[in-house]
Amino acid sequence: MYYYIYDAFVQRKEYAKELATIENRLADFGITGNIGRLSLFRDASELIADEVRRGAKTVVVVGNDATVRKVITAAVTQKVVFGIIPLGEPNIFAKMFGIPQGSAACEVLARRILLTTDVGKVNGRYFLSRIRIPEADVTLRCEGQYAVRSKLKGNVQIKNMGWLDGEKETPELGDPYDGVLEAVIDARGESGFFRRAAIFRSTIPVKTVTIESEQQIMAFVDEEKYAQPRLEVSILPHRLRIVAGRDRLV
Amino acid sequence: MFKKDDSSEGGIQDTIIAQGVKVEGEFDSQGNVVVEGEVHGSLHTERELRVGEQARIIANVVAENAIVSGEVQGNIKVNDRLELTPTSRISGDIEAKTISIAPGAILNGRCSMPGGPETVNISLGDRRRSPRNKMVAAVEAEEPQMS
Repeated sequence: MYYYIYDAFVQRKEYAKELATIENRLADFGITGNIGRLSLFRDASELIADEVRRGAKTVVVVGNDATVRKVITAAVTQKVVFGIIPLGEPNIFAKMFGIPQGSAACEVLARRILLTTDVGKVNGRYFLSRIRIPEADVTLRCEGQYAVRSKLKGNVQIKNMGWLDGEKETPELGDPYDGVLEAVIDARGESGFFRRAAIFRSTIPVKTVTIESEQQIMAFVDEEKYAQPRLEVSILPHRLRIVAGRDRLV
Repeated sequence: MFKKDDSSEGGIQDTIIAQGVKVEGEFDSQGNVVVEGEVHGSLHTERELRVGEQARIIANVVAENAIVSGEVQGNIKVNDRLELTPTSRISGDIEAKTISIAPGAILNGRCSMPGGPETVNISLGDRRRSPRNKMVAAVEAEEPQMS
């Protein structure tokens, strides 16, 4: 049984026509279901918990990356199959899972290719792509056994699926099926006889890592700002089943 | 970077500790490891270890195979092949089935090759071409155990 969660913004007039097309396509494929609407006063966890009690097995978000972030923790907690119908921008999650925009996503949903991905957990919330800490001055305590610290300034990432960084030629993708996170430190230094600027990249596979700093850590979790004094990060292997398309990037 | 049959098999990722990064504690890996930065404590890998020229390891090291080009203060135990390149500087004991020590390498410690009468492959190179050869200040090779 399918349950569709519409983000607040897709209920605006500009999306009405596209939404009607989507609903017709879902009916054509025989995969309609109840609809819930996110708002200031109703969050995803309540909506999903109620529908799971009524028998919902697949939860589909209709919206953008922010919609995915709002729903992902509840989807993982309730152990439902997760789907996306991307509407609006940005929709990087959908792109990475090979799900096209708008009504074309209904065919992907109907085909029901399921992938079981790892999910990251940070301080009790879940994430799919990565934790990014720009200009990090942090210590990584890995597996409770060793500490990693960069003497040079730079950025730190804890990658699960990774992300499509629009500014870079090569996407920063990871492997969300290997049961492991990747701690990546990009330190800025100098290299060679002419002391040209260079980035020195360290890559350490980890299952658990605690990120500590003397100051507040300004992190981005799934590209959403998240400021905390300390981050306890772990991997939940093979935790989320997600409907994906054939043109997926991960 | 690693030989084809050494590349990540079964999804085991390689570890790279780059310049400017320091690792302290008991570092344990199931995959290949490249060290260009610093490691203090202990370093263990079930596969291949590469220590770069700028790397500094103050730890005991255990690996399946190792190629060392930097500084190691500690004992190195390798199950298969250990190669010390011309820029390597070792203060500690080394143990491996096969050992290759290039001219220019500095080794201060004991050298042992356990197991049967395998070939000892110590490559000193051509000293005439290496006036700065500082090979072997104090290497004592243990005789293999004879049954």
